[in-house]
Amino acid sequence: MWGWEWIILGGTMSFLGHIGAGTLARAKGASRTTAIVWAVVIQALRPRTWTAPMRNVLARQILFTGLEATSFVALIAMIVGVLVVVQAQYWLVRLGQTALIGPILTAVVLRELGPLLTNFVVIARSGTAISTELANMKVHGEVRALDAMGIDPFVYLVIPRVLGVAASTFCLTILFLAVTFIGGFLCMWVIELGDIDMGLFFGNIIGALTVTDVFSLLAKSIIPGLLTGAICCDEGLGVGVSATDVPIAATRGVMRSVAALFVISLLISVMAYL
Amino acid sequence: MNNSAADNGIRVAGLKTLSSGPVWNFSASAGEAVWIEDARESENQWLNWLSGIEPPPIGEVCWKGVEWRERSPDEAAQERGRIGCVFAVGGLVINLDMDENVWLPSLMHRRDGAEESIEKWSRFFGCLPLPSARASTLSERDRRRILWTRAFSGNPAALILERPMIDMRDEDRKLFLDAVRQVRAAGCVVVWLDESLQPDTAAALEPLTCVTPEPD
Repeated sequence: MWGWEWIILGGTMSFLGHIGAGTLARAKGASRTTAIVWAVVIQALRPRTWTAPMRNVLARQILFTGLEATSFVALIAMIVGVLVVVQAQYWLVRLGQTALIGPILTAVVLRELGPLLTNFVVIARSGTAISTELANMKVHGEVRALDAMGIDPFVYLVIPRVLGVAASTFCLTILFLAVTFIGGFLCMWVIELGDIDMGLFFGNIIGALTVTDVFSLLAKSIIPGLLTGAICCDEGLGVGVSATDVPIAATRGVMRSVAALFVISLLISVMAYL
Repeated sequence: MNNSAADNGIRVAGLKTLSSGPVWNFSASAGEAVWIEDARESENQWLNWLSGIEPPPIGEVCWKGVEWRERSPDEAAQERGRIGCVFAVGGLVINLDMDENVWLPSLMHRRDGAEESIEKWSRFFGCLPLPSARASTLSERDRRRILWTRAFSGNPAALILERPMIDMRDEDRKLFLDAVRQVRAAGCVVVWLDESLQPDTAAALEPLTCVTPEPD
């Protein structure tokens, strides 16, 4: 072989090796996250796990991730409802199909936008908070102290956070959908789009719902919630002893959570609707 | 102090802090006190090794006759709950109130008689009622008292004290040493990790065994 052929071959092998190493690293990360979620579910099913401090941490997590985020999620949902109705109105009036506004809202918001945007809000608010809090605890020796007292950091820190995030995400998604539909209806009423009847509008939405939609909604709100909690806890507890690791953990937690959200949403949509 | 007696205490065998270097062999059974003066050189790892949080690089650490690595995670956590620790740095959970910090191990391990024990030691250390405030709002002295109350509550079978006398006032030294004497008389193993001992401490801990490593 000529010298340049060796160079091309070497470059190709190096490129393929780089892709392979990246794929393996991601597969390892995904399997680790899955293992955390599985362990959380198994441990949570044991009644003796739920001591008073554990219930306290779970309640605090739901308060922070769920309750304190309601006004922001409601605001986003209202805006989304108006935007979708305005766009739908523009096209459906042209086509003379204004009665389809309900099913379109169902398809766009309930199946995709609702769970996706709610998860985004949860990742941005709580994902970063969890990663940062746990990373700081690790750096300041608090995790070591818990361990030394015989309190398993996985049980005390990870389980209530993962479950709290998942439960809150599900509740926020329901809130998001309710506000979006109400916002959409109010927008239609304000701009006097066609002959609107509230019963007919919400009847159309409920009528457009299928069993697949319900399962898809459950999966798209709960599974990414579990993954967000698990990934952010994993990143937070994975730091070393340096304070400079803390922001890196937060960034990595958010990036991995967003990637997991898109992948899971895609997989569920493909499995449910294709 | 002998190896067989450590079935109700701590036994360290063939432990090396580095891959090559002196070897540590010692044991401490109920009511005994040992002083390990290597505490600073080994970067605070002694507490982790003795409480089974992490295994030593070489050698083994047994608690009540069983090596920590041979215990299941649940069993190890349960046993660690019987060991009180005083940390040189940190040790308190910052996002919990101080009373919650003291109650945390008792509630997690569902200890019987926790209320009486916590009241007894918080009164002894002068922090009754326990403050419902975060660590950042308390003085370093108050934080230390909370840490002691938590370590001594729950009838610990062993106490691991990581440089406990740093920047301590005289009246607190007396109080702390008195508390150590009390739990030791009740059968608690005391492991003191510090690079030096003041004469009053050494006297208060008598009979005290100073453990030193043997050449490799």
